[in-house]
Amino acid sequence: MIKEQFREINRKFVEKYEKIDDSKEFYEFMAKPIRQSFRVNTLKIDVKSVVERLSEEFELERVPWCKEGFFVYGEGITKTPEFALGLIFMQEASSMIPPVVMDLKENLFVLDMAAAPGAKTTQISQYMNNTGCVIANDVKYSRLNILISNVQKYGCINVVVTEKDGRYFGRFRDTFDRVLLDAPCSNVGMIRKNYKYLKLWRQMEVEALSRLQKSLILAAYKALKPKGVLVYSTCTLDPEENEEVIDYLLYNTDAKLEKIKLPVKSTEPILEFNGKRYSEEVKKCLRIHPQDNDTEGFFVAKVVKP
Amino acid sequence: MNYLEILRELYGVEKVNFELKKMGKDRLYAFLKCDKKDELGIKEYHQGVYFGKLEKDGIRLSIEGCYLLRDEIKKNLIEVSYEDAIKWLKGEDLDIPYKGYVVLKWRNYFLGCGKGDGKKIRNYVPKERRII
Repeated sequence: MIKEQFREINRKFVEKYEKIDDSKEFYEFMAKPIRQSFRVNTLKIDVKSVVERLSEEFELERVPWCKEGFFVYGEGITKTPEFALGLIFMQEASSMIPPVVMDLKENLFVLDMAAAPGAKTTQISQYMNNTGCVIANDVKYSRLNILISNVQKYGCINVVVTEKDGRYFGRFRDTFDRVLLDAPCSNVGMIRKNYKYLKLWRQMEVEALSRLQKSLILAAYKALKPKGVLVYSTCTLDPEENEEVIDYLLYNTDAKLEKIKLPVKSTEPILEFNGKRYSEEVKKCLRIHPQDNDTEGFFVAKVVKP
Repeated sequence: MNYLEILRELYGVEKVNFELKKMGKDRLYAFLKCDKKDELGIKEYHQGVYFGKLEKDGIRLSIEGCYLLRDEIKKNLIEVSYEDAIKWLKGEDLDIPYKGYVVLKWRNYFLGCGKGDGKKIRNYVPKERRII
């Protein structure tokens, strides 16, 4: 049984996740290899041309919640001209959601607070049609090269790369039209890609990340213009890193949540965990478990500033 | 240096919708000005997409440079066969008798820029962008 295999690798993880999702499907999909997916880079090419060409070699299936996104079946997608030329970006399907819900348009001033490796940055740039300005920030020097390399390959001339602690941006009050905080997290959603994330998972680390995420989201909210949109996302399923962070923002600011309406299956957000009760508002967040859409586990919240 | 003048002469480009800056000895980068970033005093780590190499006799466009100019390139643009497109993306020169800088295209895919010596077009696809 897969759950028992997980228990052998990380007993404390299973003990905790029995309180989050103890279904057979959850463990089945956590152990199942992830489907490959890509996003067409409309800064360089239209979706139709790429889909027609790749369909000659691969079976493609549209990602329901992202019109440029496709699941791809068959080997060798990264050996195609489309990949070499930067016409497609290999990106996990659930991670396409945050830029989709940011209400992006041309000529905005956007902050991507934790941007590396740049999948969402390049998606933001494409939704802005290479206009305006995207500040793509990452605190880790070692991750900047991959971010720059992707900004280069996907031809995003509206992106400026910075190397700051995300909290630095809190000083720029009411400044950015849109902010994305795709927060550093415990990566439970990525266990499907690599079991090292199961081995590495520690409750102590979850709690430390939760504290960091709370300070980052406060800075992100400060930097957001009134009427602006802040999207918070993680690729983990621990409530302390998701609903609790949003609850903290709602409690400490005048932030409002907006319900995310996309053709995506999801799991009810968690309203109470380990004795902590969260605001009913967090029901508006999107909690995606791996079995919901056969993707990585993911969490997204859309925040607006009055 | 007037880069637009070089682009006009080589590729028939009449306008560009971005800024160009030289970094290092001879590398040109394309970027959009971000006044708000400058007003706030945010220091960038990097800005710009590698656009092409400034050579003694012109500008050799990168793959991204070709895409940024795709609606403007009117000269020295040739369409190649699928077989040649694959050869090119594998890093091979093409046996096409062409002289000077040339942008290669297959359907609406821009494959980058090469330089012909009258017998073949020399390949400049960077190793990390080649298909195996």
